[in-house]
Amino acid sequence: MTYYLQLLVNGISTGAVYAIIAVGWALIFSILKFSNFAHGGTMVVAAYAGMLCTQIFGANLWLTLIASALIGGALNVLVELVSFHRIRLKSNQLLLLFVSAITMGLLLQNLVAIRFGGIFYSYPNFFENMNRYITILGLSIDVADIIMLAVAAVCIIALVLILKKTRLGVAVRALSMDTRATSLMGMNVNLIVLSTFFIAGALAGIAGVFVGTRTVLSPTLGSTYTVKAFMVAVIGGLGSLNGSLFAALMLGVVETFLTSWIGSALQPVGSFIFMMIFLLLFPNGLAGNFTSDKA
Amino acid sequence: MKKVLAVFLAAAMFCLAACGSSGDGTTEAETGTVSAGTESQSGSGGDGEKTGVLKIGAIHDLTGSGSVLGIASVNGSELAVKDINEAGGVVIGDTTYTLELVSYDCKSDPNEGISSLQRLVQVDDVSIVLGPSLSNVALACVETTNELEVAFMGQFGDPRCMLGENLDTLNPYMFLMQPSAAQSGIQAISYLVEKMGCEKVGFLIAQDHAYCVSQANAAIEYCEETGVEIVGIEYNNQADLDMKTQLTNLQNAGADCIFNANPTQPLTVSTNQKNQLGFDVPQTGSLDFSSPFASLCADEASASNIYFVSNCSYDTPDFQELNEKCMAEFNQEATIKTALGYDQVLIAVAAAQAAGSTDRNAIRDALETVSGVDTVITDDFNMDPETHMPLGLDVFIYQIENGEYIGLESWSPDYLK
Repeated sequence: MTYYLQLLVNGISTGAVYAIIAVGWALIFSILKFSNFAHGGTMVVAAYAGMLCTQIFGANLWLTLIASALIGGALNVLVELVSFHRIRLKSNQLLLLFVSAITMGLLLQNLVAIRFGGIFYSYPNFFENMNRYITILGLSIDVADIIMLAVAAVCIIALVLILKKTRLGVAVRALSMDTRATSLMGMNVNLIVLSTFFIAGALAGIAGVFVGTRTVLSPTLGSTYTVKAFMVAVIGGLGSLNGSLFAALMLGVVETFLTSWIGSALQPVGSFIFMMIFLLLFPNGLAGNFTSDKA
Repeated sequence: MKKVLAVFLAAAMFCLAACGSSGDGTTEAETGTVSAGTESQSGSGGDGEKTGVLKIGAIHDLTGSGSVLGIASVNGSELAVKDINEAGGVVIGDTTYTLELVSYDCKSDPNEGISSLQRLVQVDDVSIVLGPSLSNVALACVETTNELEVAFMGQFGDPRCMLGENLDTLNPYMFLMQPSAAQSGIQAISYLVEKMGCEKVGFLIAQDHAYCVSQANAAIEYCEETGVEIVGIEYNNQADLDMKTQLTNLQNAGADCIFNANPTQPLTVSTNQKNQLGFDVPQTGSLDFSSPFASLCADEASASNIYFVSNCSYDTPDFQELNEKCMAEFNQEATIKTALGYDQVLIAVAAAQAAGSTDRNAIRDALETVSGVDTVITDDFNMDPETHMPLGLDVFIYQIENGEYIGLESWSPDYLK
């Protein structure tokens, strides 16, 4: 029993990383209705920037998270201005946005590869003065995973509060329903889009730090996690934040158990079969909000 | 306008063709595809010293998951080329050759390895090719080396590269210049069992890495034949970023030591995560534990309780000298891979000298029986013509504790004798 609980803990901690990435992804999808494949590129750049902060300034975990979030947010605003802004204003063709997102994602990833030479890096241990793991009821739990779960929860609760309780949130929700009507209501659509990109980028930056803390940093990390975010978004219901959150945790747990049962080689196959069966049973995803106009 | 452009292009092509001619009036292409290397004659009246360029090709992983090792290897080869050229080159037959290293990135991809090999022989006209530590790439290149008739001497430790799938057919152009994966695997696990007293072994194996699989298989065979209990065998892929599940399985099975057969990146990830799970048992594995592995780990606690087989001690005068050169040239500490890259050039040159020619087949024939080469790793390198693998290389056990490498002792289990 302890063994399965341990797998569950490992799965939830994996899912927490997916959740932070996927919620940012879903946020962009909800307002622009396209899959932002540049999201992984933003995450990688922010993660490397965070790593440099630790190396150059000796930043602790909290400062690194803040720095990566700010850099991720700023970079995502830049990505929007460079890749999507003109397309959005001139034609708003989803296919063009989609292609532009993939191009920008690859560009960011390759820029990191050029700068860091394809060699991987590890984040320092932020918990040097304490045990890296704690034991509860026979379960070994990584301190970083506990902090990651807490930070992920805080970020997502904060995001939900922003969306529900603030003027910006109301504007974002309005924009996700009807861009034209939102504009006619006198709202600054560009500002809302840029703000949304900033929030999504900040979440990508935070996810990047946690990915780096759990594993190692390599330039191709973005591609791996972009695929995961896409799977989570599909399972959760495209554009749904709540759905993405639960789908991320579910995918993390499913992957962990599949790795244990059928091995690492077959686990991706198992995960995709799980996704297909899930979509056969729930075609609209967990949230049930099917967005037909998707790319 | 089109005519002007055509005339300009024709003139440019003529100039390029003229520039491509060598000193004796023949173009490089005229040296043929089998006889590699270019020669010219200096001095007056044609009886001066004959000089030439001996081109050595190198294929390494410079950007993929094994780039840490590949870059170190190329650095070593470049240092050797520099040293030999600064000493006046190398005399082969009646000609003094300067060395030229042409290296390409195989990006951990077997297809890239094959195309790099073809380019080195057919375009760059090299005399011999130095190979990576990636056995997957080497295995894919076997047929191409036969077609191109070029010796491919590498660090690829999977014996199938040299001896075929069933280890009974010698691949004529494939050569290994370090201990094989099987030898390394047995030496590593036997140290934990016989010297450290470990009794329950758990295996974590990169199933898509030929060297790691061969190494682990030899270690598993050792355990089975000597009655050591194997409590679990877990597999991962090189690209995996989360191995906590496999480690949890081994921890749950009661392993008192881990044989971690993984290349550098997943080795680092799994070692960090082993510490994150509080799974504090001794670990052994491949040469990928050698420097800079410890510096890539998240902290000193992760880079602890590790025992691995190294090709040599880092404290030998030859290795220290190489380290100084490496620091001066690249501002990086020399690793075992740097030494292996350096030695690859020395062995290739020794083979060319023994052949008395830069002809690719003559070098292959000489490499088969090359002996007594003084390298960084050993003072007496000898190739076994029956296996195309080195004869009797000593190994040295290293421990990693709190991120520090500690040399322990030379080790050779009775099992191998």
